[in-house]
Amino acid sequence: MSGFGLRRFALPAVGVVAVLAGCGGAGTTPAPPTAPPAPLPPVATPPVAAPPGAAAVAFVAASAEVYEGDTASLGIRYEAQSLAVPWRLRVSPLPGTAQSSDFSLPDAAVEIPAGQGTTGTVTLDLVALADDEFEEGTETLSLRFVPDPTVNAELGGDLQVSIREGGALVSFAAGGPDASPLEVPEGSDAVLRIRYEVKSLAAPQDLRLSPLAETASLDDFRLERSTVTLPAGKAISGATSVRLTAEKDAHFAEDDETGRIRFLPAATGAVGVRPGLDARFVIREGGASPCPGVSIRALPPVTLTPGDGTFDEGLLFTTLTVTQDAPAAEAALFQRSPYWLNEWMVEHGFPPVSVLNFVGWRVEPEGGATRHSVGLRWPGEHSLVEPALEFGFVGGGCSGVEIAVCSAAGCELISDGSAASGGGR
Amino acid sequence: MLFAGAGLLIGSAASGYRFFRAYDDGSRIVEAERAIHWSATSWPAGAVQEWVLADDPGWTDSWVRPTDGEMQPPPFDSHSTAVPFVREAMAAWSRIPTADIRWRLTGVAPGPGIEQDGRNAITVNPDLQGAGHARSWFQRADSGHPWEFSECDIQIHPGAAAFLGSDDPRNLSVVIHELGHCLGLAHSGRHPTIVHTFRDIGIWGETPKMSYGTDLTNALALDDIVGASLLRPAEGWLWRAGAITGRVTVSGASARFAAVGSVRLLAGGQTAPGPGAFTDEHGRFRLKGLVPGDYLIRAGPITRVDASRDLVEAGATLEALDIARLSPVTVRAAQETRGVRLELPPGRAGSDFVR
Repeated sequence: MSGFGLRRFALPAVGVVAVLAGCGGAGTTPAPPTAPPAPLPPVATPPVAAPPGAAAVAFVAASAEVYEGDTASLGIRYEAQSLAVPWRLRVSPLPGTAQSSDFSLPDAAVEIPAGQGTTGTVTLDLVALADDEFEEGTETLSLRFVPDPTVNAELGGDLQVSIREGGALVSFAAGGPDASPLEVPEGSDAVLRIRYEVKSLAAPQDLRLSPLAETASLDDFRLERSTVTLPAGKAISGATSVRLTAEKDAHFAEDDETGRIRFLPAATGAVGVRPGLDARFVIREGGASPCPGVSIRALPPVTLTPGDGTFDEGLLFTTLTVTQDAPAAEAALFQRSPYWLNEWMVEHGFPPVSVLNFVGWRVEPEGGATRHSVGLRWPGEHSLVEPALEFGFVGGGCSGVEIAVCSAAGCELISDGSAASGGGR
Repeated sequence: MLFAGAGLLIGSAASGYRFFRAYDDGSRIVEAERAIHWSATSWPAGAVQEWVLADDPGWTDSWVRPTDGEMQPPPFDSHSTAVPFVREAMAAWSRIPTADIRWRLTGVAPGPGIEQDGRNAITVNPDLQGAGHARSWFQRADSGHPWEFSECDIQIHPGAAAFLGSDDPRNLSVVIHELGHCLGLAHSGRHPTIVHTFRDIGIWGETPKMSYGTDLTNALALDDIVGASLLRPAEGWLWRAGAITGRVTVSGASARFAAVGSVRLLAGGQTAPGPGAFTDEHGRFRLKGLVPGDYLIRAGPITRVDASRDLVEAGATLEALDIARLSPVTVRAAQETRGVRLELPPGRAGSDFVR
């Protein structure tokens, strides 16, 4: 039977080295150290308290690492040379850069079983707490055996413990105040890129992707999926992505709309995961299409104030952009409203007259299409019944069923089955 | 045999040029070739037509304002002070470079203003209903030949005379309008929207002087200019101009006497007003006198029915929506671009509003 080889402890502790020095040279299996003779108890004198004994203990390794959120089981080798009863060996943490809030010792002691010449290993648990709010780098502490006057013990050296950052970092490529928001044209989609750095995760962690509407509403966009899963493991970097789709709506005179996506813990939590800042995105207005080959968009109608012109109070103004592709070459724009008719006009047989003024019309090529930019002005807030601007398209495949309606509240495409169909050139 | 008649061409201060028809039958919408012209003896091409300012007392008498019955000061201190204003109104027409219109107001002359006396006169009539009117005398060789103008007299209300002598930017409008009738221009279509609501002409251009529209300036509109030029074309102009023809329908039926207008596309995407015309009883139109180029075409019913009562009574289409064709139509010199089709959606609901 081989002896109790303290070399296998690989202890740098000076005291142990001194023991080794007295037991033999390097490269040999040392003989078990000779324990000093136990002091004889006085005759007829009962033991006082703790059983007298002799033992040698040392940490299995001189240093150890543990990730935040993890529990390290630290090995302690012992040789109970003469222990009449189990020995409760206490361990004391010595502060380093780690603070008491960074770790805990559920039981700052181990029990060395009683025995004569027995050896073994017991473990001491150290929990690295993951309660940091920010990344603080590796923290250190030492563990030291506490001398026990009742046991003639040979105590090994301190154990240096490094608490490494644990958990995982996850962030959006489009996150943060300095990042450009993700641009998504209405009716199309864009990829929201996510980077992660798993330092230590014992199990995969789910994170929710929470949409936050700003000027956009929650109906204006959707995410391909609502969670992202970080893999378990240590020291893993990676990326994933989620597709964000900007829904096409009937409105065609909106400002660009903004929103955010935020990481939130999943229902099961996300231990040790540090989320980055929200991803920002902007949905670019994409207009509407009343019929094949025709797309329309408009600037949000504005009410002209006296400062804008000489007699413009109460008038609404917008610039309508009509893009006309080849299939709609024969399309024509018709004005359904506003027209004006009063009692005098009825009395004298007058038909309603247009109160929509085309203040400008530009016609320019745009790729293979033609772009019309039309400035429109019509009465607004001073009307008893606000005559909304209503127009549609006929000819060139357009049936006139889709009616564009603009008022001070904006512009929207609606369906009207009563509209007539028309021909072309 | 020589037949003679007199036509009362009522006007005051309403797109599209329009002529008086020279024949008793046929469409109410005629082209210049079938319109009443001045006879070669009364006003031959290249000749100067003379006018006089009749010395009736209306120019220099106080007058009663019809709206409130209040006595108003004389329009002018003397007849001669009115002459420059009438000359300026005449010059508005004479300055059209594409037309052969040479007028000279010789001065003040005694005698009645409204009378077939072989001279063209302008006078003031306090009893006149309206702002002004033009009375033309026309004749024809026989029933198979066209009517021709032989003389034209204009009378205006004292209020219009006072307006003529004012510094209003539209002060010449009434006289310009009546002179247009004497050229052979009938009431045209007006600007398709109520311009005075906006104080802004917009893309359709100045409302024609020959319409019952709202003038903003003394400037002639393209409808006035092109109409006058088609009646009395300057040498070679017709060879430089092009035309667009087509048909306007409502639910497949002919759009009768609809106004068809144009917007000319310029370089760089800009647009400029273009002239307009009317559809006939079959919805057909021929828009002539166009500078070669690309045009957007619009159409809609006539709205100033008091200026076009004859067309309304002849069944003008009034219940249709305004429409604008998006694809430009290309016009080439001395050519006709044919087959443009516009389908007006039916309906035209109006809402009253207060400003």
